[in-house]
Amino acid sequence: MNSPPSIRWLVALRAEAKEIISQYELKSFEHEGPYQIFKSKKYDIWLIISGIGKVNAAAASAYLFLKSKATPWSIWINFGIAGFEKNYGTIFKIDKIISHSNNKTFFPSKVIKDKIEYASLLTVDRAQENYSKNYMYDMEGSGFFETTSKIASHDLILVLKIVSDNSNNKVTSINKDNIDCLVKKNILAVKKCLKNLIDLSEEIYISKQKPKSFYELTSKYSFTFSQKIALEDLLKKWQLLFPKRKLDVIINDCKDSKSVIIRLKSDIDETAINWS
Amino acid sequence: MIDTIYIEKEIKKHPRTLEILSKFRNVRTIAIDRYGEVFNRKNQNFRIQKKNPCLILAKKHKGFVLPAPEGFGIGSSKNYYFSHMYNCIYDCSYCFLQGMYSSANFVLFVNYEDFVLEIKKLISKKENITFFSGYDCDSLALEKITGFASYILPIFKEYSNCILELRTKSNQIKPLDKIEPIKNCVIAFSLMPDKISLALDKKAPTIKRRIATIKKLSALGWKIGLRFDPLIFGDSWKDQYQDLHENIFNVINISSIHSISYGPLRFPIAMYKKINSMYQNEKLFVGPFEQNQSEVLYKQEIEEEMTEYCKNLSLNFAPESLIFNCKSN
Repeated sequence: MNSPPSIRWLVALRAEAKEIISQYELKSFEHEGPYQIFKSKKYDIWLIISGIGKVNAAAASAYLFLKSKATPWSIWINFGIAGFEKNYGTIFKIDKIISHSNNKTFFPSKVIKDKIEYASLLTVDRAQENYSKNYMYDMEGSGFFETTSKIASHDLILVLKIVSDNSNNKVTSINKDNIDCLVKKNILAVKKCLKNLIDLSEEIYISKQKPKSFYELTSKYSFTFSQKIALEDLLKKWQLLFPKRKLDVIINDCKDSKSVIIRLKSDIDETAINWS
Repeated sequence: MIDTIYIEKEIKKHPRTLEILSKFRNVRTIAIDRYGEVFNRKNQNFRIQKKNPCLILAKKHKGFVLPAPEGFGIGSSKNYYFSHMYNCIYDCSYCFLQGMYSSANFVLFVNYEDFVLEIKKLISKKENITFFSGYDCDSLALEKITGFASYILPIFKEYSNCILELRTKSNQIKPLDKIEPIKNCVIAFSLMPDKISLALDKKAPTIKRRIATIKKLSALGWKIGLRFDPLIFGDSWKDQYQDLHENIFNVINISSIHSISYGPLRFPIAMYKKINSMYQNEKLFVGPFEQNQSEVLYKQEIEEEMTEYCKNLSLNFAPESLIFNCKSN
């Protein structure tokens, strides 16, 4: 449960979510709550529809965090449309977000490399029609990032925006169909980008896992809390030193938790690392 | 390869910022107020960021020169260190930086002049001082971009009562091959047996290449520091350290050596826990370690035996006056 891929999508509008729901085979998650949520039956993938605005985005992020029991290796994505004077229809990763109302600035991580270029984002409270070539405009990015950077791994948060309007493509002409069309056009790039993040997420997941034998041993013997901490560390070391040895044979004659720890410790202490 | 440079607005037009930027093509620049906005933030992950680190150009405001930890020195009565940069292009498993910072981005402070002002204030006290560079970064690895060594070396030429140590693993020898050797500047190389280095010094030049660089620099007339630091324990460590000493002393004239030092592997407890939790399969953290009140370190008998044994190896080639222990107390 909750192993990678573990993904949390936040989108403002149902039309932005439609293709994601279809691609990841998400189903409506029935619950009594303020936001519409979708989730995968197979994987730990969730999507929340926040509604428009940064307060909604912030609240929906926190709500989804709790509702979905997000993990330290969960990927968080704010996906949606934005205004930009150039590159109509193009998708961008965001590496700088400015909240227009309070001038707070945020810098999403830049660890993934792919074909999607980076852009800056200005999160505003009302739709803008004075488009900039320097910043994309949206209404959720800063609220999403400010909240998720407190509850998720900073390097697994992604803000993806597709250019949906500018002075040649008026905001008033945006409708469900052209949003769907823009998302469909970029969905492959999104999935490729996500693949890179999933790899990173897996690394974090692995680093948080206890050795398999930890669970076997703790179900067989009664370890105290501090013994469990020591056991986890010793097992990690023991498996590195003796990858081919069978642990159950080694501890076969151990009668209790204390003797398991002594046995592992003495094996480790008596062996010097072979650096070849 | 660096593809993004964050620049503090205050130093956006600093000549050194402009010079550094001119060395990059197709790089994305992002304006920031202070480097802390992007560096060492809560929930950042050092190991993940290490995959694609960005460069941050910043201005340092205080703490230009700091006292070196007690027990750290190569003969002077006072020891200080300074860091024009945080983080390093190499990825060594034992590096304390990964325990100190949650971010692997490189922070480069471009106001070198302010470092020099502080250094000169200390020098004016007429004491014998050693200044160490390369504590929070590698002194030479990014020289082509930073030009820091080119800037700082000539300044020390005027102060013969002081020593500057540039600590490195790099085989990049610019600007050292272009200028006259400076008697009171030591180019100090971190060294460990080849097999161990291959396992632990990821992305760093091999020991063979480091020794070749030492040979070149010594032939050019530079004073060399040999830093067996950290000392790493393992199977057949005695044979490995013996081979290492022989390989070095066979190619370098003893008159080129300024000093030889041995530093044990030690981590503050919290730092050890943090670094250990980042790795699932790193043999280094198998130990055998013990823990005192503040540090995680090799068992005392191992630490003492390794230091003593390696010192004796050096004594086969060099006088005792050149040999130092670098051990924090």
